[in-house]
Amino acid sequence: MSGCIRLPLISNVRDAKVRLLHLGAAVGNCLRFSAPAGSVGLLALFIAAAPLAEEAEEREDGAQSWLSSAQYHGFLSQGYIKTDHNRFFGDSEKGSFEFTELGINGTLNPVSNLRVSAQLNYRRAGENSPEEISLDYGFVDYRFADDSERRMGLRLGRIKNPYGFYNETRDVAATRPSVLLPQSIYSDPLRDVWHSADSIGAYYYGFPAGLEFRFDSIYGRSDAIGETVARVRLPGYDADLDSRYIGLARMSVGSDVGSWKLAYTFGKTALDFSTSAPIHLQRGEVREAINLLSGEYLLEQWIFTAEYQQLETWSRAERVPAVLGTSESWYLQSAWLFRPKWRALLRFDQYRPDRDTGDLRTRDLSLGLRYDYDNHWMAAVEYHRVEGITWLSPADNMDVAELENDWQLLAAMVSYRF
Amino acid sequence: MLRLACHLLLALLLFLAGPGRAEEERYVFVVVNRDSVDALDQKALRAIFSMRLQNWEDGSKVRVFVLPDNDATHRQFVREILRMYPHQLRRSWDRAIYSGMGEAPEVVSSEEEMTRRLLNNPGAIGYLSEDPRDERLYTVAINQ
Repeated sequence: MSGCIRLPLISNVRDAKVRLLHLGAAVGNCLRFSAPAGSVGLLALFIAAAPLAEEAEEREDGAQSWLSSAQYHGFLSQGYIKTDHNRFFGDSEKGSFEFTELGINGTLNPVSNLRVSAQLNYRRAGENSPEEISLDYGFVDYRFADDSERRMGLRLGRIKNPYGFYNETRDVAATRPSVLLPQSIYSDPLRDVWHSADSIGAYYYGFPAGLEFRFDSIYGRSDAIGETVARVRLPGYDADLDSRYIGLARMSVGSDVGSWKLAYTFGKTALDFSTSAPIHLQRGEVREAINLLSGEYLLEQWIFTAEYQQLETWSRAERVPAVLGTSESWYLQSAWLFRPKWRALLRFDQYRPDRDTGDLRTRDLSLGLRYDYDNHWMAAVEYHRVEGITWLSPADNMDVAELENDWQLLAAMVSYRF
Repeated sequence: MLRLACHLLLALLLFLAGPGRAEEERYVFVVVNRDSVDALDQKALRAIFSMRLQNWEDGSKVRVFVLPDNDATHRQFVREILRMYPHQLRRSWDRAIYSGMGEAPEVVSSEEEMTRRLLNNPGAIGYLSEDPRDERLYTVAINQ
């Protein structure tokens, strides 16, 4: 499949930008590219595009054409994970570099009130990622109303799910509070389950006096849900999971200067499955419902964040009574921006697969340090003291008997974005 | 090794934490390439620099220029004029551009470049630490 992508021969800057923006559409037709050939292509495109970005903008000074509205951006991050026990993103007990994030995107307004955006993405996360280049998002956004008081519209295409505080840009290191997001809510092995959907979305943003109100919603399907559950949760088995639908809505209210924000996310999804796994569920359906509360309080040098989630899972298989369970996740986090380029992080994160029993609880105490060199470069390092194994990936840890309940993790990351 | 790394991290943190330097007194002027805007209120400025306002009242496109995040004039502009925090604006721009839902302002490397880009682009808005001398640029009065 890697033959599908051909790097543009860049004859001039404007030509390069047009081709870049058309790439999203081309990828849709192409399905997917195999790694590493595809990822090398994307990397080459990234390296070619980064220095061109400024030059292109410079040349378009004074231009009034629709093309002058175009912007393109990208990010490239390389991480390192070391654990004393258990594996996270590859063979981390020896030290793993199997943690790479690469993306390149473009957006433009061909006519007033209309936006077209697309992003290509490559992600390596141990055994948990498909290691392909995929269309991360690609949608058309039409605004019915757009002024200083409100903005409302519809989106159609592959859209990032409105889910909590971090989902939409979770692959961009600089937008995360830490190298690894709190795993109880933003599981990295299961990233693709609640991540994006081929969907229709409606939104309304209002700015009444002193406040900012936002409503985002999507409804659609996602093949990535079934593929991810099969790859991460059922490695080594034949498993076939079909997404029936996924729907999400997020409402948030905060001050217009952004000093505080409260959000509520509600989501539902359903899957049909059949599997060869030796469990009592051979063929049936799974439904999940999410209720997530998010809160943030911000000062000049401090950011305090908390999120609490309940995930209800209902599953039914042939000749077996239906099973209902609810997991509970929450974290408390504070970031201290003690110098303009520096920030420190302290977080406590807890996950309980079944909120009615204290069993199998996983707790993670994290301490981190981040340095932002400029608008492009950043580096971060963090330490995790973990008690529990329930958010570890079975795909990375094929031998469950070897798992240790008390373990430590060190994560480091260098990231460039433009 | 992990224990050592943890201790090093803590030591570094304690070393780096300390009182910030006091900044000398400076001024910031909001500047536009346009003669029909005399005054903007703080709410409108926040909407413009948060990239929420796409067009001026006459329908022409707003083009926003900013200095780098760590630039002293930028920090002062965000704190004193917008009454927001630089890290907060950066986060909202990053979230917009990497989710496909919006745009970010164009970053210029110096005040000289800011002046040049403002001059070259009708409908452009930015800020400078000195009142611009070029008559094609206008300093905007800010209604609190």
